[in-house]
Amino acid sequence: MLRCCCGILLSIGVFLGQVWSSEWLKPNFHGFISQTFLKTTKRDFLIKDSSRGSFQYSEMGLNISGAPEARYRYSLQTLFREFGEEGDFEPTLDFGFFDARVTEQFGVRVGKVRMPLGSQNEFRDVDPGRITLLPQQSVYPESFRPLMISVLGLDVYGHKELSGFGEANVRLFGGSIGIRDDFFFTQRIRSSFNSPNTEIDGRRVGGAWLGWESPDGNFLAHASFALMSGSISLETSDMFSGNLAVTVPVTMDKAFSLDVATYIYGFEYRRGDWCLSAEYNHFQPSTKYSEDLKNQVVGVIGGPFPLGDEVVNGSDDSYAWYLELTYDHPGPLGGAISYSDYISNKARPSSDPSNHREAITFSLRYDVSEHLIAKAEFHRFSGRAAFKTFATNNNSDENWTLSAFRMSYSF
Amino acid sequence: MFRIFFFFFLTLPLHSEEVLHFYSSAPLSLEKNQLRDLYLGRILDVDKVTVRPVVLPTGASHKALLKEVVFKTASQFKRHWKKMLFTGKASPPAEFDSEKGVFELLRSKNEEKGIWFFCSFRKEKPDGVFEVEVGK
Repeated sequence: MLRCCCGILLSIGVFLGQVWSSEWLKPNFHGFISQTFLKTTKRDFLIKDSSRGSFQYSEMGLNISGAPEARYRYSLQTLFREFGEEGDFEPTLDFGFFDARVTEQFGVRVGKVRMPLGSQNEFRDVDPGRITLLPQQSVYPESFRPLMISVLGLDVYGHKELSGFGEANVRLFGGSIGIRDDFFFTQRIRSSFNSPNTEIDGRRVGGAWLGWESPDGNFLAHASFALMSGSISLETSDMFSGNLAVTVPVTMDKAFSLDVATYIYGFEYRRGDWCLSAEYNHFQPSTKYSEDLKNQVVGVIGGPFPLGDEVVNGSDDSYAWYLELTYDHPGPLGGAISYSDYISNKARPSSDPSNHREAITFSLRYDVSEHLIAKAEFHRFSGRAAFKTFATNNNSDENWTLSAFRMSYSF
Repeated sequence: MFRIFFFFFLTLPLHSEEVLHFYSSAPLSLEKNQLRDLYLGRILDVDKVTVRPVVLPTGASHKALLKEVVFKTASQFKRHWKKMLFTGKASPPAEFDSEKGVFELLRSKNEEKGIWFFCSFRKEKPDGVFEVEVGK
């Protein structure tokens, strides 16, 4: 279905290009391709088997956009991606929307749009647009990309000059999110409950992004949030897998509820080629057993529901922040250094190595040519909290590293 | 009701005596903040007419433009447009290698329904193009 949509949209783009013969109204074609090598020490992170070194992080995007009329614009991008066990280069519609401006400053986008969260979420795949190789992993964990990258619905945007006091920007978005079957959390539920057909149905998402930019454009303060709500299906022959004396088969579309709230606040200050930025993220995921599921289980076992409300206990309500300094040389070189901290559970002591993860990161970027970019990045971590991603190999050593190298080409 | 507009042929003084001038393919009046918004892709039209900048990325006038009007360095400007492009929000300004090529483009686009414009140190308006009126 998705391949079909991508094909149809690309065909429409080519057709529009033929219809509007005027040179500047013709569609623009662009694209990018990147290959990343990732190596961690002592434990896997982001990608399974990263401790042995992995090339399973590749992306290719094809992009078409055009403006048939002054205030109307269309744009779409097809993405082929492999990220560990996710993606497998299946084409997906990364974004595809129609943009109508009501006035010079205000407009609405309809379709699949990028979710504006913080300063990096919307641009997390745009490698040529930043110095660092990975977006800050404390605030923008790559494993959660499928949940946070885009929304199918509406994006209302606008900006307003504040008569000498800079400029205010606002984005309001809402709609639904589609989560791929290979999202790590889906796999985890499948494995935990022996339910190979489990799916996450991400139905509703809504949020806002607010920003203020100083008159000279050198300072930006922003705040954003997103609220997501969905459900998880279950189809298992024994929900408790031998933990109880009785077998409890469950087949239910909305066996668990999944609610996620995320809030990001931050600023950027630019001075010449330097930029200092910081962001704080409060992330609140919650996965609960539905009342229908509880009633069904209670009916079979004839007693009180043996589990609590939460499906994943003790790992909710996390927060993270980072401080980053980047130097964007007018020539081909750029660099960045940052410090970040992530606490996976506010209720537990932050001194517990399994509950926190701090990192110092060094990034280097070299523009080989206008289109070809080479990047290298080194992270030194302390702590093992890994944002509920892959199992961390039970290695108790809290100090570990991640090294990454990437070549990307865009046109 | 009085509405007084102070239009002038660009007065953006630089460290030297060089002054930025803007030329277009059709008559065009812009406020200074509209200039910045057009260069950054925040607005794509003026009074419902598509307006698109052309840049000479290696020229001294381009550096002056970024410093005085856009408030970004050349690297920041380039990265900004990569972000706009690969999120589908806008297409980057057309790039040329020489002023001669740009003025040929402007002259050839006189009849189009949209307007192209370009920034230069050149004081004398070339034949067949228009000078942009820039307000405060």
